Amino acid sequence: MSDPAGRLQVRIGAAGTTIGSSRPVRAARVFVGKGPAETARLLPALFSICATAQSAASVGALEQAQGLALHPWVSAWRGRLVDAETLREHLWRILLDWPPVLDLEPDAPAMARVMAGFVRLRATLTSGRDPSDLGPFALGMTAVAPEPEAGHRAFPELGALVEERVLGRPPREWLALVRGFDGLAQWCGQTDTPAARLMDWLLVQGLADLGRSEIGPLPELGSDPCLAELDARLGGPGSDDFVTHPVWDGEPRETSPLTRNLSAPLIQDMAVRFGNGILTRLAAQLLEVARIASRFETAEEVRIPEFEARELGGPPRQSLEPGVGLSQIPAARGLLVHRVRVTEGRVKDYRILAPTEWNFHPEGVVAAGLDAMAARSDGPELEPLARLFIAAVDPCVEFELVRI
Amino acid sequence: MCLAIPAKIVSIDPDGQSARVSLGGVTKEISLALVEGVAVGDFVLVHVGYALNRLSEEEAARTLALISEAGMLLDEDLGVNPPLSEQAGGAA
Repeated sequence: MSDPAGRLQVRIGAAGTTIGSSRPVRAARVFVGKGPAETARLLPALFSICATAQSAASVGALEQAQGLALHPWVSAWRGRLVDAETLREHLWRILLDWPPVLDLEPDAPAMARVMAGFVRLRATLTSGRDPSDLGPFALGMTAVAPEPEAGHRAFPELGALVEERVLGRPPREWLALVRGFDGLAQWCGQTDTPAARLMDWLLVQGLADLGRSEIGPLPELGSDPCLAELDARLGGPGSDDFVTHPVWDGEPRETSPLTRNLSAPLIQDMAVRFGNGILTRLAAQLLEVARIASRFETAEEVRIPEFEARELGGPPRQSLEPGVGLSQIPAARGLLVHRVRVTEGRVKDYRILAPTEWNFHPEGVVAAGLDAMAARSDGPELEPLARLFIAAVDPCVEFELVRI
Repeated sequence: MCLAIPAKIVSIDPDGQSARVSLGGVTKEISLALVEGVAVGDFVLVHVGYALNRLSEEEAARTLALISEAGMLLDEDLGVNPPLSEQAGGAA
């Protein structure tokens, strides 16, 4: 049986990088013919790696397609759960993928605590019901909200782990110290966690700009003209090509923790020095970990009806036809887009555009970064460094790396 | 995309850190480092060689049915896509 999750095949060498993918980018077609409520219930079971972001995107698109407008606090509630999932996914990279670069063991015991802590946090945030309960992700949300401070009260275990195993200090202190590159360098030199040691090692080895390229970020797609363009690409005859090898304005683009934090002072400062090289990428992931953890640690910032709502789904837009829903969710690895068309109570078309397809485009940011690395050095160190760079951009499937 | 596959645990190593699972008739070794309290016969979600969490037999069957239903649509996708330069026309 082939692995239904698919895999990426990356070939590197002086002759140039090639990237192939067997990811099932058209799997959402399985929902064609099903009802909206059944689709909302089944979809996170199928796309279970980022099930929370997938649920948020799915219900947002389905509600929009059916003209359901929700109170902003529902979006806020969903956003808090997506944040928790993003934290879990970033911690997977930091605890399991980063230590082996320094010949350290993956910190599986800590990651096991993260997994268990996330399950408890999610259960609390879905009114303390069964973890598989849809909670705020039931279509047309009718669930009762958790009490306002539930997220804060369920967080200390994860917060303590972030402090102890990743940042070496409380997230709020880390954010106060690491406002620019100098603060990051100071933190690296003073802290004994694998994350700090890896960043320090990259600096000492002169590898901070590893994989630097000129591939630009995917722009914000919130304006009516952009939504209309996105809708046309996903709903038009070329949609299979678009979800397999997406480009915007004719160019491959990046969507990631790095691109959504380009306005943060730390990332701006690092981009001036290292461009979109590896240290800037890892810093953006750490920044998100610290921000999410610090928000959960502050009761008033995670009160569900009151914290700053992000746009998750929304009312029907004039640029979309009736029956069409288009949602955009900031998932752990980048922008997740769902487009659905519902007619007579049935899904007629369902498309998902995931961040991995942007970032692992055959001419995208990973391909360009690996080309730059191979041009600088084609020696035996290329392969382990290429693995580190690929993990830093973070595909959500296994990858095979081949020297050519 | 972004799938984790339900698989049934058929044996657990004496150290409790790894297990063999049955996945579509093929057995495969996975790490149990991220889950607690699993036993032979349990279903777990598997992702990049790790068991992620336990799920009921009913949930596993439902998810496998969905993957199978999607998979029937995806036969043409299961090969590795060629690089962009080898495709007629390339991407949109």
